[in-house]
Amino acid sequence: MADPVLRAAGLTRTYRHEARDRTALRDASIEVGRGDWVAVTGPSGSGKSTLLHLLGGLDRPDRGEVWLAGHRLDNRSESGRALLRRRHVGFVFQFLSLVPTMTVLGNVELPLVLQGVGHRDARRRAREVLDELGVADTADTVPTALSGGEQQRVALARAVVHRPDLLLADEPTGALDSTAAGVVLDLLRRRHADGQSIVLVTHDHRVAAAADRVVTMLDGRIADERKLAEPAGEPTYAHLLDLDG
Amino acid sequence: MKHVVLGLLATGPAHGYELRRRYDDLFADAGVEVNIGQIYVTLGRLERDGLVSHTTESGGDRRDRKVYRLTEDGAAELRDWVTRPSDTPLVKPDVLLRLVTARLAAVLLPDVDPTAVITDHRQRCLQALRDLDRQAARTSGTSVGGLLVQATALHLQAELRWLEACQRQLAEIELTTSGNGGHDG
Repeated sequence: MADPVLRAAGLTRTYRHEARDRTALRDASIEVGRGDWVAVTGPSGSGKSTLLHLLGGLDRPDRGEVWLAGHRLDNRSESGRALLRRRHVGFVFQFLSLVPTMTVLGNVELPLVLQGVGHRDARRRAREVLDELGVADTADTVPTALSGGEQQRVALARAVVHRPDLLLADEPTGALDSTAAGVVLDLLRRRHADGQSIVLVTHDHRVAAAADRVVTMLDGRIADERKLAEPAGEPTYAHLLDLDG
Repeated sequence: MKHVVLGLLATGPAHGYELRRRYDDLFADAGVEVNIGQIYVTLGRLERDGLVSHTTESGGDRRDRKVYRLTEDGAAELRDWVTRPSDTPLVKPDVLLRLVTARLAAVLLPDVDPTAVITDHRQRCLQALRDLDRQAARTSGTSVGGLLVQATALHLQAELRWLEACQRQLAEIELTTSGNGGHDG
């Protein structure tokens, strides 16, 4: 299918706060092809999270359109957007949204169960992803018993377990130390190699550098958008490690 | 290179190929390899400066080999270098100088966009970080090469954070020089 998995044009969003308007996002457009990996970076308050929330239908733009897997998303009701999101998107929120009354395993199985995957299969796939992220030993506990970093990895496991058309992630390594961030990055790389489309917001330049395309935001606008190339032939880092001086 | 070779000889006398093996054991997983020519050129200079000396060892039915060892001066030079504070520039201001200069030349060069200095350099850093991460996968967390790769990756990440600060703050910085007061009234 040649259609992009996500297409957004002219997104503008203004919030009203204490009788003053603050435009969090101005005229942002983005297109994500199937299998693309796009990283959105920029300073705090530059509009990254606002953009991601509009792309995932958590919020609606004042102007502009969002198309998800060929369906117009932004003009639907909240429940209509939730339905499309459930069908097509895995979402990792910055504020974690695990179900506190279910076990970790139950949380991760949930998207599969909602897709109608059989119980045994769902359990196996959920355990595999938890294992991949180094948190298999948390499967039978409740999310509130976990550290922030463990909860973040469980949330990512839940977002990718059903191989959604699009993974949307807000700071997926935000609560992680560098080793755990490396585990998450490895999982994202493997899923991307398998064709997973990804849009993530990140402060972590290591994560951004792993994407195919980096969008930089500034003051609510897309300031720059660049493709990163695969190293052509010999890698180019050797000159950075100059021992000849 | 000079001091690294002195350090490699500090573990014991060696011929050129042995030195290269010692070097590669330490650094090859960081993607920096040395060729035997560089080793011999360095040994020649060190010998000229009296920091190493060699004896010729019979290779039996193979060629004779020169075995190099540190001289007393060589050991003193090594001690001096290791204990002297590094004089590497801590920050290279090249990008900032380009940025400021692009702003100063805004009238002269109206087609040059100063923010492109930032965005081009960001692209370069991100690309280097991407390439480096591939290399990191080939190094071990407990090797010298791994530490070298890590050092470079952390520097690049710091540079990228600094570029964000530049982009935010530079627009707010008034560039005034003592000479421009009278020109545009």
